[in-house]
Amino acid sequence: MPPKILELVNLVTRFHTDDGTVHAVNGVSYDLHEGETIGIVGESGCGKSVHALSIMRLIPTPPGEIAGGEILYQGTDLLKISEDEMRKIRGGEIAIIFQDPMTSLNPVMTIGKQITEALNLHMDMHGEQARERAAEMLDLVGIPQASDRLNSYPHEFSGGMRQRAMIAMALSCAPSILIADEPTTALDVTIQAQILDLVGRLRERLGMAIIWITHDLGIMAGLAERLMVMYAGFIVERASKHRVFADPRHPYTLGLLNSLPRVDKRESGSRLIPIVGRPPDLTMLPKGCPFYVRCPFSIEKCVAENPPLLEIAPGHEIACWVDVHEAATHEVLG
Amino acid sequence: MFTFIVNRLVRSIIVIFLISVVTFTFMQLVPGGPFGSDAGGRPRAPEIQRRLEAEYGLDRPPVEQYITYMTKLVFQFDFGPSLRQIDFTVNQLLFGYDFWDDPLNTPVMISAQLGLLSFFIAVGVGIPLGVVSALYRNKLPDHAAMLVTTLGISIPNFVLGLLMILLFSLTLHWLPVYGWGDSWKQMVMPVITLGTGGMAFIARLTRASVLETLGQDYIRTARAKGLKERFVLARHALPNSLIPVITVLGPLLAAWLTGTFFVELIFAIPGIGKFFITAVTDRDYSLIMGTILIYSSVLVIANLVVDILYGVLDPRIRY
Amino acid sequence: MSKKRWQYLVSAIIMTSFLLAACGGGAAEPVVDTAAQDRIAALEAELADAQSSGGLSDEAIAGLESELSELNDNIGDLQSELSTSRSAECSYNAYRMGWVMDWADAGNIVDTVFGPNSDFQYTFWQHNYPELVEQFEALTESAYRNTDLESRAATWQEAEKIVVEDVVAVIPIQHYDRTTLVSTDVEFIFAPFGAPRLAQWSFNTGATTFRTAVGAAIPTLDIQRSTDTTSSFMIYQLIDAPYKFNADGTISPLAATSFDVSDDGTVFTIHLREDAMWSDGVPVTAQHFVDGISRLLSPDLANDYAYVMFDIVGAADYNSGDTDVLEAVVALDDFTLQVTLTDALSYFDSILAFSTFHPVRLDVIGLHGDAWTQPGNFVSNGAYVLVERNPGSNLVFEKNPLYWDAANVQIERIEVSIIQEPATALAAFENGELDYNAAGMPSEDIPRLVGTDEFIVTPRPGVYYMGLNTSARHTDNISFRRALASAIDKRSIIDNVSQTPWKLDATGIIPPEIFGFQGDAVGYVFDLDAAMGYLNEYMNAEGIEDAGSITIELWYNKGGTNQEILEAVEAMWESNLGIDVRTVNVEWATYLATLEECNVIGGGGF
Repeated sequence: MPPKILELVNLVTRFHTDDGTVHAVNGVSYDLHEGETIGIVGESGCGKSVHALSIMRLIPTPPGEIAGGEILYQGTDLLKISEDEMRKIRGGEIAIIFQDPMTSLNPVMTIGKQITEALNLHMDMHGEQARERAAEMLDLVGIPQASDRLNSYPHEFSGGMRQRAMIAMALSCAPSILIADEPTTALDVTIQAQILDLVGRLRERLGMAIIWITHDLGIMAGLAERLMVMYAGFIVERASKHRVFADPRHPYTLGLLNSLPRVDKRESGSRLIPIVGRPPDLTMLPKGCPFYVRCPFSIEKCVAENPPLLEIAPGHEIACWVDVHEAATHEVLG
Repeated sequence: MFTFIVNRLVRSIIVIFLISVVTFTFMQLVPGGPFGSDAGGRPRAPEIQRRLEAEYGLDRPPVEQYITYMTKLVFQFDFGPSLRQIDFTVNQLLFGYDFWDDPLNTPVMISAQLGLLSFFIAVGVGIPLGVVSALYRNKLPDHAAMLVTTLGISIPNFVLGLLMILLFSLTLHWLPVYGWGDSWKQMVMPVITLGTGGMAFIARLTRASVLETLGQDYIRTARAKGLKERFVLARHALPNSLIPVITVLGPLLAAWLTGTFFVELIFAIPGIGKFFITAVTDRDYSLIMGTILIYSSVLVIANLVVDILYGVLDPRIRY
Repeated sequence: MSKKRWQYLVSAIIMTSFLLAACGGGAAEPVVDTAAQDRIAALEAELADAQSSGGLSDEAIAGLESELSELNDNIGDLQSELSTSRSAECSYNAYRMGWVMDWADAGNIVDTVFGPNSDFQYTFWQHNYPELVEQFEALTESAYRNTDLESRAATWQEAEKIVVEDVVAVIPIQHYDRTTLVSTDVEFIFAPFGAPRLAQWSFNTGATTFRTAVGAAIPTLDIQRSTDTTSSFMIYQLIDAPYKFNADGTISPLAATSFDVSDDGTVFTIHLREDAMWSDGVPVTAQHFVDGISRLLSPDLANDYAYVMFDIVGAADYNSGDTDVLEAVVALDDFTLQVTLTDALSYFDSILAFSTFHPVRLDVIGLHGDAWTQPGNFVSNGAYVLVERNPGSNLVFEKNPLYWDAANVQIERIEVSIIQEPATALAAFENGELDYNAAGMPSEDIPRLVGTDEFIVTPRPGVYYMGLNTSARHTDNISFRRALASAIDKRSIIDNVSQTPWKLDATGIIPPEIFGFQGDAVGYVFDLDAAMGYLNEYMNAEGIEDAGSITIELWYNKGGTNQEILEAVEAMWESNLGIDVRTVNVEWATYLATLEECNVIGGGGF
């Protein structure tokens, strides 16, 4: 196994609002190894994006607060270093790309300028040298006529090309980790596939580790090696992707998979089974398991105590008191 | 861009022409004329009135008067004689007796100085004030700035001007009450009076715009690249925030120009704004037309400049 | 621009042209043909001639007579058309006006303003009281010829009585005065007529630069064309008339040394100073004064004050272009000026101090053309020279070194600023930036300034009054007019409403500084019982039961204290008489235009 490059220990992030304190990330821990790709899956509001921003320390600190835990990047706790030092890491060592490339790019600045900005800062490249490198990156991500396109503005690109440009920008400084926060959600399916393909190839070429955040399980099938499922700020299941797809053990994961349309399990008359209920109010988390209200397998213990993440099989952890295999009833598993 | 400018210039000329027609029509419709009373306000014998009207061609049919006027104006840049200050032509009243002798002290340039200086104050103070307000939102600097700007918008400049005279001239004796051109001290109160309203408005608008911009995703991207906060503000936030501010500057200018009338009146500044008011009560037709055409031209050109600037700043707008 | 937009634009332009043409074409207003009137005059002359000399045949005479009557009928029709089309606009019962006198003869107000031939009154009394008009004209005629001050004054008093008591064409409210602010460092002299001559002023501190402000842009420095106080104020520093007014209203020599009048009072011989010089070194001669008067009367210039000199033989004809020489004004030699009048004129000596006697240099006008009033071109025979002139901004005068009395002129430099906002002028004065504030002050500040050493009140004969429309409903009745005149408590208005307690309330029109002033011996004093009596007389005569059903219109122009004063009048009429008063107030130019339109060809007769 390659060395660990990022280690999250019990990360807690909260937001203090007028309506109460929002517990967005509640003790998330995991490791990331060099060159590894992990996927983080969960529905909106489960804390996946917030935890990513916490890693980057981009949480706006008046309402937000990284209340506890450690983020160890190559051994250094990012939560303890100064802002200046963090800035070096942002973009230079850890890069992030966002969901909507149209709004995530400055509309009045050329693409070239937006890339060379990062190059000026992290790679100490200026002028012509920077522009050449920027053109190289655009070319790498598959944008034709790259050097001319340096002078284009974001609104002159199509959606897919904009996202490619963002990727180019993020990777221009050769970061060791790329965090992708739902980058394909806003794109249509064919473009989605292209972007996934591109990222895959870039990974081959550049070797960075990737944290890929999405609410769409299906996307992770191709790209990630390990998957983590998050719910209400907790990690509820963690395993290799094969195990997650083949043998999901957490009721929530089960629910997610069952609500996916699947080509292989098509029986006439079978319906998609959604998860009943709604996501919890993060200002008022129960002391027990947060999934309890929606869980078909819940038992009394679930109300009283929040299950920790425990290994139930080698490389497969879940946070649940129940063994779904045992509790399975045919109606639920459909 | 070039065709755009040419197109706009042509349209501007048509607009100014239409303004002249409308102004002329209204002047004809308003009762009373320049010669109804003598300069002292005494009623004038009808016979003398008739002779004076004949002398200045006011007894011709309106369309003929208009055509004569416009022909002289377009081909000779001659705005005609003043009907009330009979020793001067309107050109002399607006552009000075000998323009090239002392161009900066001619009425039109004096008004321009007043307008431009207050404009720079308004922009130069308003924008930073708005930015500071936005950055320190809901803290003391923000509250202080918002208080100042609310006062600035609510107090009419007539009142503000007189209050300043009361304070700085009559109480503190720091500044002279009136005039322009003898000393820099005369410029302080008028420029501040005229600039305050605009400054307040621009500050508030900038604040709102900066706040909105700061919430945009691309600011987050810029920070995610590791850029220093100052850099993010200056290179990413500010240019975007200024775009809405610049777009309102054009229409704001109209309010500005009318503000100059009052400020020039209160501080007895020999610009063209003063002429504008008295010309109407005096029914000095050629002076009215002259001042209106100058002001309209200024407005039209300023709007054109703003639109061009807007296009330069925002690449999404392409003419 | 798209084709469609061009079409809209073009049609907009065409429509506006139509609009303009419509204005020009006129609302088909009947205008009386001056040509027709001339023709009538000519025909009448011919007829009179024919009848006296018998040169025409009977048929010819009959022909002329029929043409004449036809023309007269046409004019009569047009006049009534005019008055009906006008009557809707001329609905005022009372209008406000003021008049400040130009010289110390009662005729300057009694006849010039309120006489039957005056262009300055809108009461139409000349149409409605023809016998009184005859009496009035006889009185004025005799007064103008009468050189004895006392008997003349008595005649004017009789004329005043006709206007104020017998006809009640006018209700005087208060008399004017000159209220101004002058620094305590300044020794000043104000005459009741004309503008102050700063050559007579001085600083008791020995300072030599004098700063003042006027409240309007200077209309003109053209000596013969100016009539307003601002222009006069400027011109009086530059140009000397033969005489000047003293503080008591009498005249003293200035550019002249003395004058003689012939026994019949028609020939004035004025002896000029021999040591007076223009600022360019040319001696001042009588010819320059002749030129001044000729220019004043010139038919090409349409000067407002030309009428002042119409008693000079041939002046009116010269002014209307009928003759080209003015024989009655001559320079007998370099320093003797002679003027011949058609008849003795009681007040003509005062005119020697008036601006109509100002001299002018025709050669300078010829040399510089329209620029002759600019600094550097303008030559003065007075104490100061024009050094700077920035229209709308300021003027500067400096002492004329060639002035005959330069040794006694203590103020060497005068700086005149133009400040149109009275609050600013007051602030400038209080801040010490002005020595004399001639630009006015806000009326709200007057109460706190009264009693300070800088607040100066000097005589300025004139009257603030209301004219009554003797042709309009209700005010066409003499009893009603008497009621209106008796129902106003003027003292209360002056003391409590405008808070200017030093002003004098007026019942007559001759001001207190003028010989002939009668105080409340003429006109109607405030008397509620009498007012009710007159009102009842009127209501009985007309069969009106309820005073509240009587509605009258009171017109005035915005500005100064007019609103306060006239609203008080309105309130008094309503509460004291029980009638209904509607006020109409508009700005000055519109106000005057409307009144003057009503006055055209005596368009009274409703």
